[in-house]
Amino acid sequence: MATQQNKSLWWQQGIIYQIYPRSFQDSNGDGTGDLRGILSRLDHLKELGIDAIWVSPIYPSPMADFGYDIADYRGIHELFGTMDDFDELLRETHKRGMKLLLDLVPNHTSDQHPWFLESRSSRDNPKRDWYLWYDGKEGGEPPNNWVSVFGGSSWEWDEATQQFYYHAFLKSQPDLNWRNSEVEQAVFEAMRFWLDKGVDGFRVDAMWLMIKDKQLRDNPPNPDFKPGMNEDQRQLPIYSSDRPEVHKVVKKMREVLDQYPERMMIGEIYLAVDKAVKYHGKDNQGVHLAFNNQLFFLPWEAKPLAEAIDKYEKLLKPGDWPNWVLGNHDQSRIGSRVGLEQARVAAMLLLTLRGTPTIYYGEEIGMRDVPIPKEEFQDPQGINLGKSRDPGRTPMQWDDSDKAGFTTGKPWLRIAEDFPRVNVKKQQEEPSSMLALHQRLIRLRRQEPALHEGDYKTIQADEQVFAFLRKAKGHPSFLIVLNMGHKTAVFKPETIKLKGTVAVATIPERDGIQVDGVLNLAGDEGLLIRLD
Amino acid sequence: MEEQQQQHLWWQTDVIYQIYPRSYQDSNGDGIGDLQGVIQRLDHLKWLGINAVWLSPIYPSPMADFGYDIADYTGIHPLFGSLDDFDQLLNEIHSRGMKLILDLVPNHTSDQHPWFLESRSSRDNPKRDWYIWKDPLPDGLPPNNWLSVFGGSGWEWDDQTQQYYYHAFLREQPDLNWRNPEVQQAMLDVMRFWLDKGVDGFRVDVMWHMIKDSQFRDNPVNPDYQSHMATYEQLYPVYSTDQAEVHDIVRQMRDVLDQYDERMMIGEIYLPIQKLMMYYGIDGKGAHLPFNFQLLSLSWDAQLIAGAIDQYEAALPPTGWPNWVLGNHDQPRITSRVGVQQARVAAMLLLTLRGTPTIYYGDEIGMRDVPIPFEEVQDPQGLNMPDKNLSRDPSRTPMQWDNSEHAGFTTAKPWLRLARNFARENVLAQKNDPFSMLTLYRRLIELRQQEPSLMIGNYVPVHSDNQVMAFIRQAEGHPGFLIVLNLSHRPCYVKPKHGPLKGTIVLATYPELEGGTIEETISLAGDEGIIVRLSS
Repeated sequence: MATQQNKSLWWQQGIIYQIYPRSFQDSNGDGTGDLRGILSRLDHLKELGIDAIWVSPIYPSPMADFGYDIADYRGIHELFGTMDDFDELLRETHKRGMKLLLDLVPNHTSDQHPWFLESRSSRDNPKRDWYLWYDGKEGGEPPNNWVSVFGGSSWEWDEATQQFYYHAFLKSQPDLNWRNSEVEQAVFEAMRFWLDKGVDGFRVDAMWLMIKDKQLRDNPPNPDFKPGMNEDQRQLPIYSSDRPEVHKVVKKMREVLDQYPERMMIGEIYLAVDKAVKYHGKDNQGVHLAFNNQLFFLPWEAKPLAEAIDKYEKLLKPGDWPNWVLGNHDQSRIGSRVGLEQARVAAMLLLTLRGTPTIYYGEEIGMRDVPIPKEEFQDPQGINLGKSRDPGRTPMQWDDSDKAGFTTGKPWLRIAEDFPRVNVKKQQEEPSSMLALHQRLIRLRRQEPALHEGDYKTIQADEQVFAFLRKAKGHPSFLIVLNMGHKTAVFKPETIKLKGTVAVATIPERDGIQVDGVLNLAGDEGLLIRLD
Repeated sequence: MEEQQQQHLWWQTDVIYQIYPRSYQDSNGDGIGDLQGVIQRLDHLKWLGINAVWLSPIYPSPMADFGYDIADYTGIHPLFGSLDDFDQLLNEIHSRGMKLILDLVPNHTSDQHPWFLESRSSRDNPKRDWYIWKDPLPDGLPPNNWLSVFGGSGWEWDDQTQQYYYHAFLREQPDLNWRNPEVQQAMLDVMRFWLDKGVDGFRVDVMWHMIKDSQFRDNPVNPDYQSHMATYEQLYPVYSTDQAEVHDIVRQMRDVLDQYDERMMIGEIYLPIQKLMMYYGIDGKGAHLPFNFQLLSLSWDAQLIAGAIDQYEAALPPTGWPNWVLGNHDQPRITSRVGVQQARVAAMLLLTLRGTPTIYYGDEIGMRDVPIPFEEVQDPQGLNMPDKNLSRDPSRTPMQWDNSEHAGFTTAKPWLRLARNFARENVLAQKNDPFSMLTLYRRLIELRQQEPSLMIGNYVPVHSDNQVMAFIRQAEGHPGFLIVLNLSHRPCYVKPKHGPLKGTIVLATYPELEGGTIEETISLAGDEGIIVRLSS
């Protein structure tokens, strides 16, 4: 245990911050965020106490899925800047003692990627096998029943070569064939390209989809499907995702990383938690962090939450490191899922649980989903399925100037109406702001071993109150008590002695108060208590 | 049209504001609010746009239930001041063009009321029958299974006279026997005392409790009872409340009021809609406003609430005037039921629905339930059932006026602790903040009072789904208003089935949207509500 603690690395102790580059900061007035924009905001992140920045894709791309359709794994999209801009961003990030994570999208490329252009050019092209080409069934039907995440069949007919190709997402995002060793090598080369530059790691997109059933068996119908759910949930994707062979691929990616010091990868894995934790690999030779998305979907109630945390903690094998996240560019923002008051409680939860927290840009100021009229939809998922992710991707609100300080031009997506009230500058001046709460929580987390590497123990979960203990040997222990309802609540623990001082409270008037025996909580109140 | 407007009386057009006098304003430094304190704050109410004030009980009382245990119906408790203070208060209210509503508690008195002292003194005392005395069952047990709202049996044994008396609330609050004509006359005289002074009406406490089953039959068991609920809910109170004869009593009270001009009464009645409607009385000769508490108990769900409004509107008798309320001194505050953000939406709902709105003090600044440590609990309901978190103290904390030491409420230690965040959340801080709850309330009231459609117009449901509800208020000859409320935290998109509506947003829960026009599809952010002036 002691040796393991000594080895606790930056991606274990630290806090990750996700930047959606289109929406963070525009530097050239074209209404779209860019790398020089991020550069100009690094000090905000430093002040917030962030350790590592994950930037969503910045590579050349036709932008059919906002950069998750990559046409060149080793370049920078001109919208975002140049390779020089990137090098400067990396340098400046490192200069501030922060790390930089890139988004790696190995599952698929753009249909405009030279690889795919070659692959589709003829059946006997050397890169034909780099993608998943198959003959149709008799009658011109696709090879099987698999459906795309973005709606419809995931098979696209290619008239020229008279075969179907597979795309888990848009038809302009053909899936690579990860059973082909040339593909592996090509993507590993791309990884090395960035690692050689000094990039600290990758968030790996759609990791659980990388390998598909060799026999292309039909997916069975989902017995729990209900109208209103995404169309792709009509079936259980047991043959199109999470195939056992995927772990071999992950291990190989890990081997690439391990040739460099302290690099890491986070896998995007939307799977039941018992399956997701398997991506840590045997003997921790898989991903460093398997994104733990449970807080997106759990009901916002103390009991199910506590049960899920306990279950997750139990599933982790020795050496597996937990992580937590409240939101990302594919989800409704936490402020819109649980409300603004509970978003403060959620922030306290995220930043006091055991494991690496990832903050989605804007969460730190309580940004919310912005209603986007249909005619302004940008997201293909919105245009195709009516389930737009645009509301959670609106421009960062920096100040109360004309375009919230985000751009001098017309922003690519509309800005929240409330930006004159809800912005970084304003919240920097308010001791009770969401930003101030984040700063205080992060500062304490960084200072206190119990919080950034200590053990976790559930103390209580009832109708309203969730309480847990964080403890590291030889250091002060902390009790976190969260009122997950709007009503007042009483907390009177039976299994531990409640005596200590409030170190951080969601309502700052509570800071520094002594607690002894019983706690009376206001609605939506969370307390982080340093135990005597 | 002019005529129709003139037909509406003050209690139909005004906004009522409930003051819990212990907690509103202290003028003499004893930590407890009083009448002179209320006088000091009348300008706040006038500024807010309030035209009628309901004062919770201010009469002499041992304060076992904070004044709902009355020992003298025609006096003023020294804690609150003197009868002179009261006369001054009434005068100051009337001089501002406002009305005063007192709390009438006819169901029970204090056990220290001279009537009860006489009644309990012997079995043959002339006032013995003014209360509900019963022999024990042969085994000494209480006459039936009726329970007290505040916990335990509803029957208290009197050792001296060897009978039980009934108390629906505390044992210090014996129920009067309203089947006794002397009791009726005594209480109607109390009403006349205050009406003669010029009091404009009464809020009548627990009106549906006043008459009990003449045979005192056992109440049936509630099969859905769960242990976290108040013990009272173990039984359905079918024989202890809402007996048919209560309507005769209400009618008699109404007759007293009708001997004066424009006086009114509101009945406190916690009953399902159909039963509630009976309290309007035959030919509208019952209560002017049987309190409509639906918004206190309904889940905060757009479809449910829209449905309940429709049901209520449909159930109203022809002359019955609707009313709505979000909170009172017996309930958790609205902010603690739906959250602070949704409380803004709730305010917009309250002040745009058809019918008289009643605002509970402090709701206009978004006050929240304050956690009260057990050793500081004052409320008997909290003390009697300590494990159920049923204390009503959290919603009775002192009004937050400013950021001075005790929030401007008192110069001494307040009788109940203040919210910790009063330095941020107070009237003074919110007054000049265009985004504050107070500003929202004031502007909602102002608009309501200016616009006949909002004050007296029809209610027309337009849309409801699992996130959002929309309705139109329309008075003939006046601009109509569309109200769209997002009762969820997520953005919503509404396409009214009435076809495209055109108009300008005149008021929004946050003012950024104001001045905008609405599109065919109306988009709202989470927790957002708008009022649209429709162009004809």
